This record gives sequence, C-alpha cells and structure tokens, in this order.
Amino acid sequence: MSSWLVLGLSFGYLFLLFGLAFWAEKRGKSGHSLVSNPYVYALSLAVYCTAWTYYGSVGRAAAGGMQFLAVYTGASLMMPLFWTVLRKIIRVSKVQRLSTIADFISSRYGKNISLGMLVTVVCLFGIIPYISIQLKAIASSFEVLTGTSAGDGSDFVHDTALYIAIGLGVFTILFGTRSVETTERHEGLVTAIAAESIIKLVAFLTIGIYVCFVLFESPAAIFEQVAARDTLSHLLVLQGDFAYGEWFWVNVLSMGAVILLPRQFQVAVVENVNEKHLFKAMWLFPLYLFLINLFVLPIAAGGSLVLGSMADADTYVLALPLAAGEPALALFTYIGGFSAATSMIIVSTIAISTMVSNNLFMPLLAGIEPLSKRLGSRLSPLLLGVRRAAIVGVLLLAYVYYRGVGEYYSLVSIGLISFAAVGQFAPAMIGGLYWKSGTRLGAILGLSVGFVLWAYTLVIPGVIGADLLPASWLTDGPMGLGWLRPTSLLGVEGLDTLSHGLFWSLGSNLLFYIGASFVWAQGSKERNQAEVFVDIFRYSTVYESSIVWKGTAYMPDLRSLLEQFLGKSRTRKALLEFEKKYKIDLNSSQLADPRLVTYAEKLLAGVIGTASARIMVARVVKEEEISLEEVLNILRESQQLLLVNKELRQKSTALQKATQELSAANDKLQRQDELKDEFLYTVTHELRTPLTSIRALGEIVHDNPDMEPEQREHFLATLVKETERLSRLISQVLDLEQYESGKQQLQRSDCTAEELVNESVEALQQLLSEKGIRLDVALQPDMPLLSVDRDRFTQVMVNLLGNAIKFVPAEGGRIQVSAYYLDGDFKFNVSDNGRGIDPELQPFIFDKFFQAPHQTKRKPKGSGLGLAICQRIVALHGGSIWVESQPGKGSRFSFTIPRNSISHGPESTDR
Amino acid sequence: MRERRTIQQLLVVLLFFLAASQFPLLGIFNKKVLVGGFPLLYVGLFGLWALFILAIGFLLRRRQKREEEA
Repeated sequence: MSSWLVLGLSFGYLFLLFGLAFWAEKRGKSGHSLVSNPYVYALSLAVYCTAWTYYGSVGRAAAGGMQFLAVYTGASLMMPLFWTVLRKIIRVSKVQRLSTIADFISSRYGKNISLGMLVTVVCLFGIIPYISIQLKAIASSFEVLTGTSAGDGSDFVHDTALYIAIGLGVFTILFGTRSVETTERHEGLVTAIAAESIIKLVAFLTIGIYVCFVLFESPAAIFEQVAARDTLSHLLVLQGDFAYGEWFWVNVLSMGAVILLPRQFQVAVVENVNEKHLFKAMWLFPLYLFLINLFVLPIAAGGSLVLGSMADADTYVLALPLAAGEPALALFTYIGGFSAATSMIIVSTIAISTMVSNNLFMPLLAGIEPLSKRLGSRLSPLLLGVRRAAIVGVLLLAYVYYRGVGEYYSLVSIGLISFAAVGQFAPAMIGGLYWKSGTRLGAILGLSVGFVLWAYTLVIPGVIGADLLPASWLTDGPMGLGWLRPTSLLGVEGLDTLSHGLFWSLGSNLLFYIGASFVWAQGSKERNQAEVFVDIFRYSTVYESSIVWKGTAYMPDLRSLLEQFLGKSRTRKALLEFEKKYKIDLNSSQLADPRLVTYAEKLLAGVIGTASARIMVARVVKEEEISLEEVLNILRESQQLLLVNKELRQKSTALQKATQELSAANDKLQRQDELKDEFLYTVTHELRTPLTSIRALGEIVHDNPDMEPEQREHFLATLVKETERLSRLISQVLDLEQYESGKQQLQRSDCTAEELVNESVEALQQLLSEKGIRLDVALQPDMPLLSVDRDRFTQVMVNLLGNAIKFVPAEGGRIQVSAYYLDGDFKFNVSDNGRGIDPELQPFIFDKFFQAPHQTKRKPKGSGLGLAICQRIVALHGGSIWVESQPGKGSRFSFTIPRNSISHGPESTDR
Repeated sequence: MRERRTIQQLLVVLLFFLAASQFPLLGIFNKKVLVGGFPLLYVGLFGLWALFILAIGFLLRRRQKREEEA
C-alpha cells in the first residue's frame, strides 16, 4: 500500500478530529455543551484502552491466552468503588481546584512542593515510555500496512512517528492549553476523545467479526482447530507456574491504574462535570471494556492458525485482512488503532505537561522571589508558554525514547511497568483520603522507596533484556552480589518478575508510609488539609471557613495577585461570587477576611498548582504561626457548631410537629364539646316534649273534674304512656352514660344463639302480629355456645328488631333474622324491606352525637340513642356492628360476637 | 441511610466477583474443555463479567428509581 495514502488518511483523520473539537468548543460556548452528559463521560473514560489494548492484547493473548484480560477485569472490578473513592477524589479536587494527581497528593500533605515534584518525576519516568510505545504502535502499524521494513528507522525525514507526534503536539496545544486555568474543562478535547473511543470500538468489533465469521466459519470453528493442536493449548487455559499470581497482581494493579494514571485522573476527575455521571459510567465503562475484549482471543487464535510466526502477533489485526486480500478493511482497522494511540497520547501529554508546569516549574519560579516579582503580570502568559513547551518536551522525550530504547520492548511489558509506577501513588492517595494521620514525611519516604524499588526490580530487568546492562546481573547479581539480583531481591524466589517487583515496591512503599506517619508528627497546615480531605463531604460547602488561617492580609495585595494570573474581569467576577456566598462587603475594609485568603489561594491553585499558590499568597500576606492544637480546636468548634445547628433544626421540626398535634387535639376536643352541647340540647328537648304533654294532660284532668269517664280513661292512658316514654329515655341516657364512662359490667353466661334470638322475638311477638309483619328466622344448626351478657344481648336484638318494625311498610312488611358461626365469630343479621337509609347518613347512625342534627329533619320514632347503645354493647363483647342499606329497598344490620371474646376496655373483669 | 445501603451492596458485589475471578475459584474454569465450541475459561470469565455489569447496573437503576419516587 502506498505510504502517501496511509499518511494522508492519518492526517485526514487528525483534521477531522480538529474539526470535531472546534465544533464542540463552539457549541459549549453557546451553551449547548456536549460534554455534560454521562455517555460522553463514560466514553472518555475509555481512553483507558490504548494501542496496548488494540494491538498488544492480541499479541499477549497469542502468547499467554486469557492472561491479557486481567488488565480489563481489574479495571472493571474498581467500578463498585467509584461511588465512594472516585467521588471523594472528585469532590476534593473541585473544592480545592486540583488539576493533576501531583497537585492532589502535594495538597493533601500540606501543599508540599517536594512531594509534588516527586510525583511529577515518577509520572515522567513511568508515563513517557508508555507514550512512546503508542508512537511505536503507530509507526509499526504504518510499516505493516505499507510493507516497509521496521529496521530502516534511521532516516528521520521518512519516520512517520515524528510527523504524527508533531501533529498531535499541535492538537494538544490548541485544545489543551486554551486557558491558564487548568481546572477549566476542555470541551473540544473531551468530545474528540469520546469520538475516538467509539471509532476504536467499532473498528475492533469489525475486524473481530471479520475474522470470526468471514475468515473462519465461526469462533467455534477457530477454537476447535486450536484444540486439535497441542502447540496452541496455551490459548485455552492459563499455563505456567506463575499464571495465577500474575493474574491476581495484574488485576490489583489495574484496579489502581484506572484512577491513578494521569490520563485517567484527567478524564475522570478534572473533566467531570457532574458527580451523578458516575452512575452511568459505573456500568457503561465496564461494558465498553467487555465489548472491546470479546474478540481478542478469537483473533489471536485465528492469527496463530493462519499466520503463526509469519507476523508479529501484535499486528495480527492488520496482517490478517492484508493476507486475505482486504486492504480496505486493514486500513479501517489501522484507523481504529490510530485513534486508540492518539487519544492516549493527547490526554497523557496534557496531564503531564500540567504537572511539569505547575509542580516542577512554577514552584521553582515562585520560590525565587526577585525573579517572580520582576516578571509580575507577565507570569500568566509565561505559564501558558511553559505548558506548551512542556507538551512539546513530553512528546519529544517520548519520541527520543522510542527511537532509542523503545524498539526493544513489547507494548504490554511497558504498559504494565507504567501501571506499576502509578500504583506507587496508591498508599499516599488512598491513605490520604481515609486516614487523617498519614503524614507528608510518610508519603515522601514511601513514594521514594517505592519508586527506587520499582526502577530496580521492574525497569532494570527490561534494560538487561535489551542488552544495555550485563546479563550477569540477573544470574549473579550486580558485582556478584547475589542478594541484589533484581528479580529475586534478598533471595525472594518463587514469583514472576511483575509480582516480585510489586511485592517489593508497593510493600515497602506502604510500610514506610505507615511507619513514618507513626514516628513523625504532622504540622498544623498539613493536619488542616488532612481534616478537609478525609471529611470532605462535611466541608465541601463551607470550604473557605474550614481552613484555619491567622494573620494580616490587605485587600489590594490579594486583588493584584489574583489579577496577575486571572486577569481583571475574571478577578472581579470571582470576588463578587465570594461576596455573595459569604454575604460580606469586601470594600468596607482594607483588611481582608481570612476566608478570602483561602479563597484566593484556591483560585490561584487552579492556575499554578497548590504548592505555588501557597508560596505566592504567603508572600503578599503576613501570616502567624498556628499550633496544631489550635487548628484542631477551631475545627472541632466549627464542627460542633455545625452539629448544634443540625440538632437545633431537628428540634425545631419536632416542636413544629408537636404544635400541630396539639392543635389537632384541641380541634377535636372543641368539636366534641360542641357535640356534647348539642347532645344535651337534644336530650333536654326530648325530655321536655313528653313532659309538656304529661303536664297538659294532667292539667286538663285536674281542671275538669266532671269529664266523661271514657275520655278521662283515654287521657290517663296517654299520660301513663308518656311517663313511660320519659322514664325509658332517662334510663337510656343513664345506660349510655354508663357505657361511656366504662362503669358497665357484663354478666356473662353460656347460652345458645337459638335461645337468645327466640327470647328477643317473643318480646316483640305481639307488635309483629299487630302490624301483620312476616318474620323469618334462619339459624345455623349446632352452633357452639355463646358466652354473653344475656340481658344486654337481648337488648341489642330487640332494638334492631324494633327499628325494623318501625320502618317496614304497613302492608307486606318482612323481617329476616339469621345467625351463623364462622372462623371463631358469631354473626347475626337483621334485615328488613323498609325504606332504607340514605348512604350519606350511614356512617353516622351509630353515633349518638351525629344523630342530633338530623333529628329535626327526619324525626325517628325513638330517642335516637338505641343504636348508639347497641354499638357499645357489641363493642363490650369484643365484636362490631354495621349496616348495609339501599334507600327504598331495605336495610340489613349485622353484628359479630367473637367466640373467645376479648372485650374492650376495663370492664372485662367478670370472666 | 439509603446511600450507605447502596455502598454496602456495591461492596458485596465487588467482593463476590473478586473472589470468583481469582485463584482458587478461577481454577474451576481453567480446564482444557470447549463449551459450545468456546474454551471454558473464556466462557467462564466473560460470563462472570457480564453478570458483574448486570449486577451494578441493576443496583444503580433500583437506587435511581427509589430516588425518583422519594
């Protein structure tokens, strides 16, 4: 294939990427951001998949079967912890405006300069080889496509990697350093990265499907052929003494790398718009990894079958379609690999250049007071210049590395060594987030020791493998010192190189971190940061007041410092925000509020890194030393204040609730009082009616001594009836009063339902036959005995029957009484074909108080207390009473009496 | 409270799959056998992985639904 075609396509692709990034930035500025969406966030996390994934995985699978997968299962296993660990890192970074992992670690341990530098150096050593193998991957894939040999790289003019590096440098400078504020999101860049993630996935799936279903019949066909060959059995199972150990360690390493790699920190933390996006990313990102790895093993197996050792296994994805005469497909696959490599290079370069400028260069510059004073307002453009130079520098270093030593390494080995390098940050980082006592000295010592051991146990063996050091080091140790052998330090044997290196470097790192933290105490500034980091979710809204600061600062000094880096308009805006948040007027005094000092420092940190910001701020203000105790006391007080506030809020809501309940109870009481009044009124009214007629009749009889005997007889009979009615009413009121007050006692005895019903019916027999009403009684035979108060029970029955008699029509009145026993309850029904009860009134008919308002409308031929008494008697027996009725068709009153009656109230003592 | 519960459930998912994907349990799948034409280890690992993704997705979805209801 022509070199010009491939090169043209590569650059055409880069230009498309430029266009996409420009378009996304334009959209972002007009308020239609593409980036603030969880899918773009999840896709940008997939920058984890580099050329290593794209080419290297197939190569590693061809050599070691499923071993390649550990890098991706490990990263996936980190997902459940994203919501706790990553969210905490994001919150801390947003609150303190941290933009790199170097800044993060330096900030946690008291904004320490040397720690920031140390982290930066580790990243430079760990990541530049990683970037360089991406360049190598691009170059070698180019060579496979064009058919040029890999050996003639001596000619710079014809080296594609150089041109690609230049193109990527331009892209990164354009979209990665638009603003001095490193915490600002790079919309164009993130969009481009997300798009590249889609391209590499689609390209890889395409070649996978091609190999599985076009080149071979099916993946099963590939594996069956593999199974038939003994030489390929390593593709089917993990083999070798160290297989499980390596599998485990790579899993662990990848769990850390998915957060700790500078590029991952950049996309996952700095470019995060909304913490909630984590929800989607937590399952979308592992799904992405799952899909992109699905065809790796089949391709490796297919490649081994078809090509064997005729091609480098790292380039099977290109060599397979080429060998089958599908150049277009090979070209498409190449673009996928190109996008995987470029996205990694771009993001890593930005992250590292920010570290170099903010944690290496700026602290040095800020440290030399006369120099930084002389530069003054030119510092800000200078900073951008430094960052751009750092981008060029990083890419150049990567290129030089590739030209020099990179040729000797495979994609995967360098990748894993990089993982191990950033893995050294884990103790300081995770410890710093969850352990307040972790100290600066512990972090520095742990990281230094870890780094040295990492270099000795993991980098040196590779260097020896490239014939740059004598091979005797591996067998006899340097200078014949056997205990110094890089692959079995102090004689530790039985581990593969990676596990051995990790054991020593990470183990000592952790040991020194914890040990030194116990031995040497923290400073006050450091302790303050430790408190804020570990309890970030408590402090994040009131960050400025959580940093204890004492001293004198003047407004004009702080303002001019901010203007130096942020410019006038950005400074004015930031100060206005501060005024609004804390509700203070900054112009009222020349002296600055301590919180403003923290705020200014935080704003500066977003531009020049925390350590440099600390130096710059400390220079324009006069600080007083604060003791550790003072810091802790003030923090505790502010915490208690928060707590007291919270308690107060809780108490006031409780009070509110109590008030509401009280007023509800009051309303109820008032209503009952009204009802009582009404009842009294009704009762006296009811009493007066018969009383009036008794008196009138009495007077008539008294005043007319010579009245006709018949008439006198009639008057006297009425008089007696009215007196009876009166005494009945009074006894009912008394009855009711007894039930209400709980004085009524039940005289229980065992009776049959039949007895009870018959007794009640007999009492009314005369009335029934007088009115010509038909009564049907239907009782279930052989019911168990009831234990009830005989008289009270009959009272209920008689009352219900009496009501029915009152309301049935004069002609063709029918009443039915039935009773049965079911599931421990006796049930009695009294139905009639009377005029029924209005549904609206049904809920109230058992209520003595509600009887009153309707009495004038529809005056019943009774006291209106009968049903209320019935209800209380039934309740006393532990049962319930209710009515079903349809106006015009009749009513059915029912009540239940439980067999093992547990009666309500205190009156159930008679058992 | 609910926050804490979700975190704990996620932790359980992590521990379960961490144990299932490592030695000695991984040894169950590490056999030279083809299942439906695929190596047992391939089927086992990708199957576990799919379950893992489903478990996380399910937990977060349920949480989100509860949040919407509340």
